[in-house]
Amino acid sequence: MTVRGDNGNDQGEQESIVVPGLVHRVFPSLHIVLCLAAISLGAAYLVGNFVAWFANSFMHELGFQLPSLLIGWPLQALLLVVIGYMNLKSGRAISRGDAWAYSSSLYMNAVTGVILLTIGPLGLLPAVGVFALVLALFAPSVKSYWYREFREDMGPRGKELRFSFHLLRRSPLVIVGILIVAGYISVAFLAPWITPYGPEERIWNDANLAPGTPAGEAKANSLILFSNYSADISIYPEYTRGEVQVGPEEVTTSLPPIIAFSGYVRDTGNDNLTNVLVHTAVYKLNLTTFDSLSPSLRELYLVKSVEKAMLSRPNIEVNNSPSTYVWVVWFVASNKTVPWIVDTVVTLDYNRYYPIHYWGTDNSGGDIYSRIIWAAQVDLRVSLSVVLVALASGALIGAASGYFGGKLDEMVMRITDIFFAFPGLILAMAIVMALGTRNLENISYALMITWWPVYARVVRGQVLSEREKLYVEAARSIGASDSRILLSHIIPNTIQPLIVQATMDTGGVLLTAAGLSFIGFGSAAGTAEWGLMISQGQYYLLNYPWECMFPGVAILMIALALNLVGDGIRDILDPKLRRRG
Amino acid sequence: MKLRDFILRRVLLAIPVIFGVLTITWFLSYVVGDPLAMFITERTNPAAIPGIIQDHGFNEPLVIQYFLYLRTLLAGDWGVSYSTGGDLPVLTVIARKFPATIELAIVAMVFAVILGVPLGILSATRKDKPIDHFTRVFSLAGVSMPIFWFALLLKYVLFYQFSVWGLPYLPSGDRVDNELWKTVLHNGVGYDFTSSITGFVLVDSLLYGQPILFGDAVLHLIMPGFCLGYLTLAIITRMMRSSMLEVMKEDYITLARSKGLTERIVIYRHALRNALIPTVTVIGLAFGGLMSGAVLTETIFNWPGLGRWATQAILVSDMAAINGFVLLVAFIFVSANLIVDLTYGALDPRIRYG
Amino acid sequence: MSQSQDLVLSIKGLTTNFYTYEGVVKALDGIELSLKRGDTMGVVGETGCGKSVTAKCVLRLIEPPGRIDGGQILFYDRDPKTGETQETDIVQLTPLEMLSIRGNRIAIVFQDPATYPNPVFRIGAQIAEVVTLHQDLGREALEVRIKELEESLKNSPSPEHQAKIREQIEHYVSMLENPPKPDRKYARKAAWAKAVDMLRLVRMPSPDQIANQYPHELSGGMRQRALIAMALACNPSILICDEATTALDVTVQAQVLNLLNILKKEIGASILIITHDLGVVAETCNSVTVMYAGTTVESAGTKQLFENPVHPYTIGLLTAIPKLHENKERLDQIPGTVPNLINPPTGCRFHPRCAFATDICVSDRPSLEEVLPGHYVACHHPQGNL
Repeated sequence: MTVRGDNGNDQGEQESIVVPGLVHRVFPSLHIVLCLAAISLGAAYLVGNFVAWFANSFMHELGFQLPSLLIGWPLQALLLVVIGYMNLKSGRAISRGDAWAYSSSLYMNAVTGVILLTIGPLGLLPAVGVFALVLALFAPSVKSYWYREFREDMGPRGKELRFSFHLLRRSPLVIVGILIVAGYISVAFLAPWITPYGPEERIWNDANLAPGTPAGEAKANSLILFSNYSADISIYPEYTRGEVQVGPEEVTTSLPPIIAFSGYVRDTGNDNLTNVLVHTAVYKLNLTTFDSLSPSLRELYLVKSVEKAMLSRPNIEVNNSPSTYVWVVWFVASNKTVPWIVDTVVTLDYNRYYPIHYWGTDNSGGDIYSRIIWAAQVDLRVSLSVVLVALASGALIGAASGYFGGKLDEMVMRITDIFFAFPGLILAMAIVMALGTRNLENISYALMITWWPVYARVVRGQVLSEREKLYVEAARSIGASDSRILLSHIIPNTIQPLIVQATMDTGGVLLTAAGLSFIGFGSAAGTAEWGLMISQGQYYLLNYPWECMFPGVAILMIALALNLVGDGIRDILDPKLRRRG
Repeated sequence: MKLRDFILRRVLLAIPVIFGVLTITWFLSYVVGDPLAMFITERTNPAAIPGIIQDHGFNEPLVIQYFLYLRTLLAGDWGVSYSTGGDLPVLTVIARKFPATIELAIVAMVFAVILGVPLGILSATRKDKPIDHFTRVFSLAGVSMPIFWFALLLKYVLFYQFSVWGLPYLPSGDRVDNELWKTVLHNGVGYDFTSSITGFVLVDSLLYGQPILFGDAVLHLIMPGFCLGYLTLAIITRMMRSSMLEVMKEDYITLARSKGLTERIVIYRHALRNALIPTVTVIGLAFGGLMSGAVLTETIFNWPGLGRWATQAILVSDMAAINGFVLLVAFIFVSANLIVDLTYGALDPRIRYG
Repeated sequence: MSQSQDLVLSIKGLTTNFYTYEGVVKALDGIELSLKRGDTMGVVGETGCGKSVTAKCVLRLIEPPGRIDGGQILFYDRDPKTGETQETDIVQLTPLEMLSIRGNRIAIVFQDPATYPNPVFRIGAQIAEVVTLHQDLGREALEVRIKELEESLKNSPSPEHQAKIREQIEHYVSMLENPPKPDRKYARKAAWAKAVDMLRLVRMPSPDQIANQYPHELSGGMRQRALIAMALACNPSILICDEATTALDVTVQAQVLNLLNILKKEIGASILIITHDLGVVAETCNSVTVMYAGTTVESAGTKQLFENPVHPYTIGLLTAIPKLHENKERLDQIPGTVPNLINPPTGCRFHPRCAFATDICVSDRPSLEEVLPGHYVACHHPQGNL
């Protein structure tokens, strides 16, 4: 390695190293090209969003349509532009031969790649390039160039991290909290598989059942065998028939499968005196045998037949073992002059069972257990999206405010002061009210607007205090660039309080969202959402307390777990509490 | 002299915030929302609508509307709330309902401070002992508790189940037992804004000289008061604990110990006074939590205060009521924090002269 | 070391450990130290060698994860009235018994005057607190009461009233010989008066006014004087100054040291000055104890030690002081760094940095021996003129 003498740029007297090899010559230019791609993509998205918004609000009559490819989430676009710009700087540093810039490009490329992946199909190609760049960093000749310096830089931080994990292992409450949060998230994802009922499914006959009561109606998987709605007279007098094979997968429960018929006849003219008989029957035969046998011989294989006038809905049970059946529907009338409307549905209900309402049912027959689990999806999505958006926007504003200071800082702080003059729930209430429509999306927007100042304050304070710290002064005095100071000193130290704040706020936002939903700002009645479930259960509190108790426990548990984790992480990361005992 | 300057400075600092609050509520209700909704009810004569638009300047440019808005607000015209029975002016409704909410908030705050400060001290001085673990879980539960659910739970246990088990139970809601008040006072209406003197039921019952009514009022306050105060209690306990732990590591505590003071005096004289300073700030911020909580608690306990009025207004989209409520709560919150700032100055000599 | 009659503090084999996550920090390992009555002793050593820990051990102010694991701290307290000397081992005392020694018989002045006074109490109240705690203010309270009555006597209008007051004064004067437990109000006044006296004693300008001020209103030097006043308020037998002048700038430092020199004569306390500044020691102390990495390495009279240092570490320490009349390119330094006290060197803790070290220094721990009269050293290869 040789020391380059003519380093007459803003890096001052920093020792730089001449980059050897082809890879090092290609790498920076590729890096810069990809950064520019990411920035322009982000900018295109921003412009596209603005144009789309503009077109939607003002040019609706013109029928102007923007390619939907260019409409994405504005936040991602903004992040792409900001990170892309910083990344561009580290690309320049790489081309100057700054070994450290390689590791900084490692992070930023990884983050850019992830954002690109989420932005849509347009981001796919640059994302592949960016990830390839990340991989190239680990090619032996490149890695040997920057990795040792990186290890030395990160060594103490790794030790701190290991110590943090050591402390984490020693705090059982935090682990319990993490497990509960992980449990909630996985339950939310697994909801379709672990709940017997859908989020808005109701069994009206099962209203207000106590916890642990079996359902009054069996739950089954259904296979539609035949469905016909027609005003066709040709149905008469022929059979409508079909074969159904009940395989071993369809008899896994103790209840036998049923073949359910629904035959409904309505005449369209003056045959009102005509009495149409709906014949339904199931035979234990396969179709070829059935067709080859005479009607009287078929009767030997009859499982059951039902005859009823005009409307017939029989459920015919078959054996709870694999075999093949033939189902038959036909209509018989004494005389007929006009077409009839005939509505026929035949289904196979297999794997039938009576689910148990573990946590009871609500007033309209919804299974509380299923609804609570489905609601986890809704509530967690609301609170996570609120916290993420508030965090990203608040952090950007706060960082800018802290870093540039001056008039901007003064203005941002006055604005946050005003936001802090409102209690969270009440400002959110006013915003939802102003937005007009009451639904969870508007609750989310309101909470995002309410919550960002918190993060702006946290980040600004951190950036200000870090900026003044001696090691940053020291780093600056040896000629470290702004982006390097930001990446290696300010961001790592700002992230810790942010993580703590965000963890605890996720719980707070969840509680506030549930509260808003409780007082009637949430979605339409019937949506599976914890606050709304409590709100609807409160009228039956004395007789059927489970209807609001279980959703409340669900909220309490997740909020408690999030607070435990946030609290624990704060204690673990707090340098004052760290070195004790 | 210096103290006066200090107070003056703090009061002046609150003024831009108040303006900001007014601006935000204006923006929300006039720019984002539909301002006409505040002045028109179903009973409004359709012929009068153009007049209303003219009067409030809704046809003017937004900047002029903003100043008109400020002028009407300052003139005491906060619109008409139609969710209260007769179409009453918002300020009248606020004047009637305000004492109920403030009384509840004060009781909750008293609960929170009386229990929270000692619990925090106890937890800090017995760090990592069973009492500390209990307190931490108790206060964490308070922070994580959905307050509306907690209210229902309390009501179910303390009112319903206790009555089922034949135990003495707490009333399920309302501010007073109106039948009892009617019998005792012989006034035919019981307790409402026409028969109240100060609006505060605890004070009024004493002014009437009826201890039985005072007892009734206290009984009615216990459940909503505790329910509302639990969150604040939890916040105060946590803050007290952490600031106490922080203070106990300070040099002046070592000095106090080196003087030969007993641990009791070190804690209660030297540490407590210093640890209270950050806690007082939290108390001011917690007032906002109390106002939010009142919205939820009052509905459940049928408490005739601002919170229940606001929820009823939400259900029927009574814009004027919501707007007035939000504005009022922000004013209360700002003034509570102002008072806290002043208290802070009294507690910490460094601030007062700084 | 021989136990002589005029000792006031004798530390023998004091061992203190801190049980941390990284391991057990052996902060003090067999400290030996003795302080004669009326003496001023300097304890010197590098940062982290255990000077301050020793001071805190004497007052039993070590907090978890630290623990005193062995040794004795013998305190010979002389009763001011009877003149009898009583021996107590501070390590063995219960926390409750310790309370009556702390701040009363042994007092300490800490390093940083910015953080040590309690910010929310007035200076006077902080001094008065320690007075009320440790002193029976019966007599002083009576005196305050008599003085007040005499004041009112002057302003009294009627002769009957005057007679009544005189009667009261006589009553209280008769009680002076055998004062009862003081009335709270007057005790507070007496303590406050005593606090003002103490502030006057430490040469504070306008002590009445200062007593009514908060710590943040005073300068660093004034705060440190107030802390000294606080420490001296109960006429302690031992005053420990734990780096008491380090945080002050040089002129203020000189004032405080001067004050200590004067006060020593006025109050007759033995003073233990803990410092890393050999200049302070030369100026104020009659004897010195040198510590290195949790052990005592040398102890002698100041003059003796400065003229004839025996332990290689002391020699290094003294040559490291820059001198005005020498013109050196580079200051002398002791090679190597202070050892990690979790895994301290075996044998003599100084051996890795010592030019004279041999095998025995690695294997055996030297004990503190008297090499010259009154000059003790812990070294296998003592240097200097023996």
